[in-house]
Amino acid sequence: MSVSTNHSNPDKYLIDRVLNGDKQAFATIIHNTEALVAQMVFRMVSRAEDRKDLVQDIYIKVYSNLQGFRHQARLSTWIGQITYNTCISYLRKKQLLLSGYDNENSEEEDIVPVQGPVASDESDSQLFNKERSMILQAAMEKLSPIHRTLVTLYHQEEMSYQEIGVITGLPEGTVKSYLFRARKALKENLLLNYKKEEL
Amino acid sequence: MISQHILEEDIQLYVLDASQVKEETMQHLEHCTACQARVREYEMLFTGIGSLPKALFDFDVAALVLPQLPEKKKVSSYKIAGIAMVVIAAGLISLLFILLQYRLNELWQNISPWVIGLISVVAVAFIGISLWEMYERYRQQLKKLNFE
Repeated sequence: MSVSTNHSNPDKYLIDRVLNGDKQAFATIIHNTEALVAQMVFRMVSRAEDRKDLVQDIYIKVYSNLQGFRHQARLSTWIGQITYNTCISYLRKKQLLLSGYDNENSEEEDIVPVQGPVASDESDSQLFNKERSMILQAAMEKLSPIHRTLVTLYHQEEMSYQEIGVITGLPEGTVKSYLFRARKALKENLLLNYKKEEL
Repeated sequence: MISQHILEEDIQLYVLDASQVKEETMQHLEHCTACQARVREYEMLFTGIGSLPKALFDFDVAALVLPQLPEKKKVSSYKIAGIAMVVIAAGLISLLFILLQYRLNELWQNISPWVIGLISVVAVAFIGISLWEMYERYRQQLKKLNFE
């Protein structure tokens, strides 16, 4: 059962209820934000078993620190910030932050497509899109976890540079510069891939 | 019109928000097929990223998290009573000082150095313990958030 959030400030309403001991309201917060958390955790952490522990850790931090939330940003942005910091901390511990991401253990195929499985009689264009999507996914895997997350937040979650800056704690200029480099690397990687296929 | 090809940064900017690029860049793009091809590459890339399947957890996050949530600490009635007593005591002492203001010097001179020493030691210890507690709480909160 989810808590109705039909209020002028649903974030504040939910937080007040959680602070008054209503755990169902916290379930609603989880429900409202888990898509963003999943996007970030999947982009930064490749080991499925670690993801489960991390998401648990993230939401316990959210719950424990909810009293300190000052409504200076949206609740989802604040949760995104905790997610980012938790993942960065994990990557630092595993020494995966800068480069040489552990692609051998990569389990990106675990990503559950939102639209569900494609029917067996898929058309040529669907096959082409699927293939292109796989090539792009592989190219994304070659980016560093931070670059991959920035690309996802900007292009998939449609966040502004400023919002991404709040989540990552990076200056807006740095976000722009990292995104520029990440897009360029992706494009070059894709072109290289297509050229290889043509040969 | 500029004769040099457009910078990579401007190509990206054009695809993201054409209204932000300079007029010369637009003019160059109208005539340069090489730069138009670069624009198309980025258009394909951005469309592709946008249509990638979104990640979702294959487990029920709420069912996993809710049983793990720590119980909210309630401020004990003893703590509230303690705080109230300290506030009342502080009020009474202040009142006493206001009422006996003109006799304070006399009072200070007559008070035993042992009593002053004892009061000072208790006060310093109290402040020290409070500061240490505040610092510990701050460290724990930082640790929780991992703002390292």
